[in-house]
Amino acid sequence: MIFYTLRRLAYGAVVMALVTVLVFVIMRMVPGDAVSLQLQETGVSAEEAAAMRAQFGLDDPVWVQLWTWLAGAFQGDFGTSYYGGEPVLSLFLDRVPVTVQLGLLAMVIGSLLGIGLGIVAAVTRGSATDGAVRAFAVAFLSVPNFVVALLLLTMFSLWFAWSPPLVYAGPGEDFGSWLQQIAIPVFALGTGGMAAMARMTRSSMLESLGSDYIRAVRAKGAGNRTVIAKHALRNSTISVLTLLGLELATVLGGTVIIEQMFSIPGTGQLIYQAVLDRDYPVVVACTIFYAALFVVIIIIIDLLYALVDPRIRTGRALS
Amino acid sequence: MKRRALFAALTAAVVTMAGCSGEGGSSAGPGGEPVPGGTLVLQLPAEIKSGINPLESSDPTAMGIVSGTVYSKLVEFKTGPGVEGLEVVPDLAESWEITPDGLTYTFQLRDDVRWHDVAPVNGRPFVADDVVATFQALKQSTGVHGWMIEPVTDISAPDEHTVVFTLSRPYSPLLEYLAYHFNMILPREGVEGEFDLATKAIGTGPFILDSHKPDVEWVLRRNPDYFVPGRPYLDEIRRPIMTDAAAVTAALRSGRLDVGTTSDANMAEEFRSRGGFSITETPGAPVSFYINPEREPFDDPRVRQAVVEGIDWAGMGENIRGRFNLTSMLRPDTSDAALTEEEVREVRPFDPEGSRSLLAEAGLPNGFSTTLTVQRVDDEDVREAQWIQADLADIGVKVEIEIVDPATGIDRRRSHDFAMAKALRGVHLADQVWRDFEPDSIENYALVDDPELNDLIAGARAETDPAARGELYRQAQLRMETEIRQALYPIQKFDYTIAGERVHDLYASPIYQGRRLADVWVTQE
Repeated sequence: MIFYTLRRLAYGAVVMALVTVLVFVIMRMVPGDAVSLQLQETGVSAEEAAAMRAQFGLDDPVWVQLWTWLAGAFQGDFGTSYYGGEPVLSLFLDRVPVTVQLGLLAMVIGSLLGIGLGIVAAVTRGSATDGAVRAFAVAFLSVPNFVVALLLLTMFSLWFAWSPPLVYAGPGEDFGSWLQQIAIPVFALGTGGMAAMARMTRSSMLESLGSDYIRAVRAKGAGNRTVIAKHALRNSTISVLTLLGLELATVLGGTVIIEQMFSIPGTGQLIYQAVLDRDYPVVVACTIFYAALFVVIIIIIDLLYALVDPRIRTGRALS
Repeated sequence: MKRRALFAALTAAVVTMAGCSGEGGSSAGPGGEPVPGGTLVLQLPAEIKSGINPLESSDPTAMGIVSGTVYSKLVEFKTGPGVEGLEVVPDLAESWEITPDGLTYTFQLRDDVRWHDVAPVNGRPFVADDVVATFQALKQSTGVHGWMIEPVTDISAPDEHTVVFTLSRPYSPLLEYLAYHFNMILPREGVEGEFDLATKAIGTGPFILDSHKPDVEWVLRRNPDYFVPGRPYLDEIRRPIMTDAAAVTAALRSGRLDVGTTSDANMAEEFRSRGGFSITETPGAPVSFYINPEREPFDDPRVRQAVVEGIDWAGMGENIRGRFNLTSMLRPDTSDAALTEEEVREVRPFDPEGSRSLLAEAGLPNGFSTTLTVQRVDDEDVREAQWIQADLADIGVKVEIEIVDPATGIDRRRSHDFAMAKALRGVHLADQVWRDFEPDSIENYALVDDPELNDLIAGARAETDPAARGELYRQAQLRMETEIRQALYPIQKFDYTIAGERVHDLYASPIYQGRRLADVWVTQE
């Protein structure tokens, strides 16, 4: 188990190193930089622009810039924004709670509903309920979350003359307003996961329910509830866990557009703006934080596999 | 913009301007007697990224927040019902005199003005020394708009309420630049660093900067000591940052947002047909079109002419923008010297037949292939490019469209890395065109190097007689349209301000004119 854990951590480190270098280099290969953007339409001379570039270190070769950045990063200094001059770390950390609340709610609600619907569909296989769940799942899987958000926003404003509050207030400041503000985003971000989860739960449940050990459990005289909750569901957990990890990526990715749409000041909005502004320190740091978060979650899920399935723990993988 | 969203620095610019500027339509009509009080919720299309220091920022969104609202200027462009074009009127300066040689400007300042009662300025009286401090700092800053007062060699204050500008040469655009949104008057305390101009604004304007929640909203509140009696009417202006058109539409419909802006004619039309909103159409940014003479075959002036006259610019404006002005170099909404629509049709006819023969003359009877680099801010930008592509295909020119975001677009134009390029041009005053054609300017994207054009523009900048100045500008436009054809502003698009019925007396302005918000009032439930 220790060896298994260490190996997972090593993989994670390699992924992080690759992500860092790639993001750093790609961002700088994109034409346009923060200096041209800040100075456009100002009539500033080419010399002044060059001086500003030198100040940001933008005229050094990419590898020098990467090295300088890494040296700082290891000491906890992720650079400062080219625009406000604020430290990237505090800029990012200020916004993390907003996105975490949004993402977590979307995932929890999406997963619970998805798993519930999946179980219902599996148990009532072939019925109208099953058909409805499947149709619903396919529909939401095919529609991107921002389209769902757009439709809801338009429907509510046209039919009920209602729109979310314009100004974001955290749950601690004004709970009612916060709830109204995140209702559509949470639902929109959650639907994709809910649909995927429902399909996955349904198919793994069906596989479990049709297997020999379930027949054995039933033969022992176990009730329907025990069969489903204790035996079939637990054995379907592995695939659902995997999906949960992937869903996190979808939700985090979704926040980039959704936060921008709904003026929610989270990390997604920060990244979106920073990319457009070519605010390299912010983009690089945010991407690396996101990647780190993702890697950590994947490692946790890998470890959870081992807890759920003893065969993984002992090194005998599933065949 | 600071934060700018870069999305657009241009977009934002354009939109903000419209936002903060545009109204004057039906809501301006008789809505009864103005009622003091209430809150106006006005969309801010992008967050301000680089701070609000008027000596350093060139961010139009930042200007939209503080210029004319928090900070006053020496002089101002008039706004109100039926006002068109640019008329310079008093703001902090009550009156001014210009010597006949055009080298000395003397401004008499109001003596009843106090700074906002905010530390460290604490409501002290406004004096001539503040004006001197502001412009001396502007001249010394490496800043972005110091060039606007470049010929000014000395600014002095003979007494507390008089300011004298001394110039090294006659410079006709000075008054317009002093009324321009960049040139706000700051307290000496701010110039000398007693508070941070990038995050704090203490002015003499109708509104006091109350709070800013980053990426969420800016809030202004009423200045009870404003020097214009009875103004402003509003107690508060909230500027929530909203970038998404769908969110703006929903918020206008639900009534949470009072005023929103867009460049999308369809969105404006949708609100117009729905009723309950007043829509104001304001002339906005010119669409710019550049041809790089260093890329073959554009080194041949006949090929440039063939391209320019092979495109149906009016058809493009009509079909894609809805409302538009057919224009040359100058904006008709800010300059009387702008060529009229008929004149433009004459010097730049849509003539595909002629274009084909020009190409044949140039040795390209079968046309050629080239690329058009398009800076995308909204969908219209791309649809215009497709229109150009279709028109040029008709004369045998095969165009590949390359769509880029604003950051990339600016970079590519500055490095002259394009064959043909299309973007939006974010300027307002006639004088600002020099930067597009001056050989040393970094905004001379199309490598224009025409001594005769430069002489005409330099002459116009020095000419103090408005009629003579206008004539020089007209000749400059004709020269560009008929001889050079490298940098054109073929049409001017319109922006739309959508205001709910409770908003009254919000009048349009071609610049970021925050002072007009002092006249706005809202019906209260």
